[in-house]
Amino acid sequence: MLKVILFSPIQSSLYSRLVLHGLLQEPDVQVTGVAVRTPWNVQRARSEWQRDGNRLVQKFIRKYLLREKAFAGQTCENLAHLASEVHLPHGTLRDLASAQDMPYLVCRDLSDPLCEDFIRRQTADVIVFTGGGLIRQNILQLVRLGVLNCHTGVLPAYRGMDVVEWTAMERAVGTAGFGVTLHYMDKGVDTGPILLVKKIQPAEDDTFSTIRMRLEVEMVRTMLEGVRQIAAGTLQGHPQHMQQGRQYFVMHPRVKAIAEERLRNQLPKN
Amino acid sequence: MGLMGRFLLSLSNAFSEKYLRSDQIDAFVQSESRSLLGEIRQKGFSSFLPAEQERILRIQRLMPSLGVEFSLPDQPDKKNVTSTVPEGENWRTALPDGRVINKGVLVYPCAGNLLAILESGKGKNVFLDENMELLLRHVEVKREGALAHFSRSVSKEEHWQERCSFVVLFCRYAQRKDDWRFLNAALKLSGWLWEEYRRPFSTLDALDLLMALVEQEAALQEMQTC
Repeated sequence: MLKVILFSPIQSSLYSRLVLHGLLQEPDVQVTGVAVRTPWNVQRARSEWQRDGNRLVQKFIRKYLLREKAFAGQTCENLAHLASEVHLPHGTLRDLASAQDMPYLVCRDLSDPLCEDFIRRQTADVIVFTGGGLIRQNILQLVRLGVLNCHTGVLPAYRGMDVVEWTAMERAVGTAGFGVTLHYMDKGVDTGPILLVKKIQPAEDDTFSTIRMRLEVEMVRTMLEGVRQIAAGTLQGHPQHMQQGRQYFVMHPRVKAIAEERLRNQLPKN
Repeated sequence: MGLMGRFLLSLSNAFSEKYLRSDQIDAFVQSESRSLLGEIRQKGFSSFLPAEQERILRIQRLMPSLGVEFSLPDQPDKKNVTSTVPEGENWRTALPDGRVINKGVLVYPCAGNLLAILESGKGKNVFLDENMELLLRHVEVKREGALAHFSRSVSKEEHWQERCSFVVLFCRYAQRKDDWRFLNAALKLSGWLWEEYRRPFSTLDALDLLMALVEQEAALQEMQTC
């Protein structure tokens, strides 16, 4: 039986809830706890504001207030569709955890001593990370197998932020492609050993937004498949070669406008 | 979706990213180049400092690609323009650990020296590539707080000029390597410099910012067509 602790950025995260719901269906997996970051943390707000600027307000409204409703009217595959397909119970992660009598921790930071104690108490072979900031060495070393993360890009080529947009910008839709990568986290940004890479085929009418929504669904599936295979002992990580990729950062709106045009030129034409 | 949901969705869309738009840059370039030409006509090109003369000549060279009229009243003899190109390679070998940035502290001066190495370099330059990658990460992570601490104390003017020079460096490196990440960072950096320049009672030099923005727009045009 593989023991798992789930890390989440907020208790309403649809991605985290879908992953937890999926893990609970796995016969060879036991979820021993859930740790969630509190949103009411000045330090967190400051660092996220510094990174995202106005995008943080967008994220807050969509993820905290709208949740599944943010996907209303979207016809492409997305997390809300997946939630209804798998009959995800309504409510938050806390509700899902308490229904299973599962230990649930709310902490300021997923690397803080409180979280460290929680992991020691609950014991786990692997941590499933579904977001929540930087994970420091103290946590990375605490579990036997490591911390799993699913990145919305194809590794090792595209590490970091906005990699869907950067893939189109560098005209790599036909080569690197769009996909997600399951990997163990290490102290670098998306540099840990790779477990699984799953690609999606772009469609004629795709936009960055629809590609991202489709990738989010793939992230849930890939994370669950990875955990299942780790539990079965059939999956191992392969170290990345740093020279095969680069780290990318938040894309400036003017560059993004060029990337959008380049995306349209790289999509398949029917 | 209910009324509240629709309201929240439109509210979230309203919070789009703030950035320095191309029309704002165009207006600035037009007006500053006019006033610069006026100053040159009035005082004469030779009254400018050598570093300023170099920048003016570079601006003159790039302006046609932006479609802006900018011709100096009298074409200066380039031989009379003293080159202020820094030491480049000599400066590099004097660096204690081969890094231009350590724990957020930059050696000073930096941008001009790296630019000299870039301009003189042929083929692969591991020193330059590694340091440019460090600088890129520094600017992207520290954002508005980037390029703030130097190995020696610098005046407000030197600090301003150095940061404007970093925009130029990032633009030229992006072009040389066909690496949009650096132009992306230059666009952000110039946006933050713009905010600072536009503050009430700012005494920051317009020529430095003009140079940075002209380089940026020229690089953007060239790379877009590649």
